[in-house]
Amino acid sequence: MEENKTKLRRIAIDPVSRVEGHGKVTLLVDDDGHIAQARLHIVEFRGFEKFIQGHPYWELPVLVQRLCGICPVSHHLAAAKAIDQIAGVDQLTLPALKLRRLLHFGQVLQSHALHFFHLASPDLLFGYDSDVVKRNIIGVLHEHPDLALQGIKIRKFGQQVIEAISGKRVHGIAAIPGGMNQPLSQEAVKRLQQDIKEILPWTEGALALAKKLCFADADLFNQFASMASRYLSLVDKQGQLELYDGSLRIKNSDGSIHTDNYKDSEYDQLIQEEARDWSYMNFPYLAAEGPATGWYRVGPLARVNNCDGINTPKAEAARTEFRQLVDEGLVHNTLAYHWARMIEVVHCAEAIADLLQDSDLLSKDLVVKGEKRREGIGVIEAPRGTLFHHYRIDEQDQVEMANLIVSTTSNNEAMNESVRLVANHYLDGREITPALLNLIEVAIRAYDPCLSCATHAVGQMPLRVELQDTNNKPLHSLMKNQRGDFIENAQHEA
Amino acid sequence: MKLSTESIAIIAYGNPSRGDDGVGPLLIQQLQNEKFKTLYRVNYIEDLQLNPEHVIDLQHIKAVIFVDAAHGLSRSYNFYRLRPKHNSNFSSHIQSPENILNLFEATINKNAPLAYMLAIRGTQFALDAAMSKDTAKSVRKAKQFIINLLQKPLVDWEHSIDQIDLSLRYA
Repeated sequence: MEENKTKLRRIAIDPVSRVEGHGKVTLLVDDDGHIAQARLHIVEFRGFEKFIQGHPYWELPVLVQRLCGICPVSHHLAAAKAIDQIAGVDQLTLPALKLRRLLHFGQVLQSHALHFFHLASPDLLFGYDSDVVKRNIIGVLHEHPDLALQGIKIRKFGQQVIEAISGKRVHGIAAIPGGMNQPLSQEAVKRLQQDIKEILPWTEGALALAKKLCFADADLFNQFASMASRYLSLVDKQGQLELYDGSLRIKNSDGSIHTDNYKDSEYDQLIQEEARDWSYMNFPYLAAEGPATGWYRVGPLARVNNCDGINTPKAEAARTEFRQLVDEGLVHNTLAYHWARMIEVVHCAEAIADLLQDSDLLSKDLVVKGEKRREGIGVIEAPRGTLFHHYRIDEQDQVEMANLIVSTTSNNEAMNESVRLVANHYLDGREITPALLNLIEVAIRAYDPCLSCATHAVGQMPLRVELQDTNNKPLHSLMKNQRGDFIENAQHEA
Repeated sequence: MKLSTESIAIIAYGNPSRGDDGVGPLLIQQLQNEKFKTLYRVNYIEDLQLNPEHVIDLQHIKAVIFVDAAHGLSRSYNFYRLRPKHNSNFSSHIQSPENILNLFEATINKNAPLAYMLAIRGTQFALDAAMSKDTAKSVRKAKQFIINLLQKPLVDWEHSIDQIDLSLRYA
């Protein structure tokens, strides 16, 4: 997309969030009022690699948990997989592998539950253009009182799985080089077995709700930010959905296979990253396709589109139904991310229930030793998509090179394009409307991007939308403050 | 000093790898390592950030103290009362303590426990930054404040409340 800077007006959406890092959207508008380009700025991801360099390799699985307050376990496990290789271990013991899988299912379950119950469901239940005062979790509580509590309890259960395995609520030690730190206790297994009985039907209810809400406004579901794209994810040896370990599969937008059975350890030949001067976050692309057209999507929609099946029955039935949305090819509806996310929630609950019956979880055969190597690459399907951790150590066992591609980065181009499509469709005239601001939020939310991938965030999170002319003179602005009030021309900044 | 049957929670959140952002977890660590008399059963809860499931931690307690780093605070720390309030945010990754209290009342169907914020002044929050000396000093002062507070009956906590420092922004 060639930008004609002299003919573009700029609309900036600026969620001023925290001391460190914030998101911002800039829309470049031509004289005809069309959105030529959308730019989502996320500054949070800078400095990760530098943060890791210089630390002894065995510290990494614990250290990297601090990169993200939402999915620390995903970083923990991706780093652990890389460190296994540095420790000279290619194959874990079966008990260690099962514990890691259980830990990961717990993480994905709770991350997806947070997004659906507390963020997506208000939009879906009340409509994207409904009163913002109602369109929040409290609104959901008033009209669907059981839902929010279920969401909280599902998250709590996921947290309990993590705590039972890692010993602590945060910064626990679960995975260690070559295996796992400790088995589950019999008491923990019994407690979790009891709790999962309640969790599983709730996840099925969430799936049914997600599906129903997608169909509630079929036209919107079909057109909103929908776009053909490639999808990248891990799959297992049978081509089934795989969250912890597998090979990389890429599908073209027509559903044909672009790449299959690709070793995740060779990811750096498959994917390259482009830096753009306006963004702290890189733009990954498929090396074979080039930066202009090589972008792809990751996350729940990618995984459910890419896999040939899911190895738990309820989730597989849901996947089959989901794929019947289209006669052939793939489901490209961006709002279908919500539906796919809930298919995975059911899968996680089913998989946890199965694993909790496995006596290997109590085994102390948890660690394998090997001969040290200099390099390791760990790839995992984090809740938001494929996550790459790549490390090389020096002779003092310290990390001399680290490369991370986090899921939100892989969705960078897709999020920009989704925002552009939505803004183009709904921008009316020269004023930013509350409806447009809300819809842009909805488009970004579908991807569940990790805007706060490191610090907690309590502070203000207003959204500011600014329309500028070609001379950067502010024409109109709209801000949504923390209470959800819209304030016109609250702030003009160049 | 007679131990009350009342439980309180101290929920401290922040990222220890981001300099002063880790003041909450550090304070909890120091409190747990120190022997002091208290009237209460104290549940120490540490997290990277507030999440909806912290609602569950508010069950069966009489009071909660949230501990967080604050940017732009003119004093070493600021202790003040919190009340349930809904915030509309862009992302689910952001929860305010007032929001958690509000969510508690809406989901558990009970009044939220007495809630307070202990905001501790911080100045540097970059990834891999060290904690500043000034903030380390503020944590020591805040620790002593909490220790003194935990020896007082709840009805007297109101006397320890500061005016909210309007210049603060949470980290």
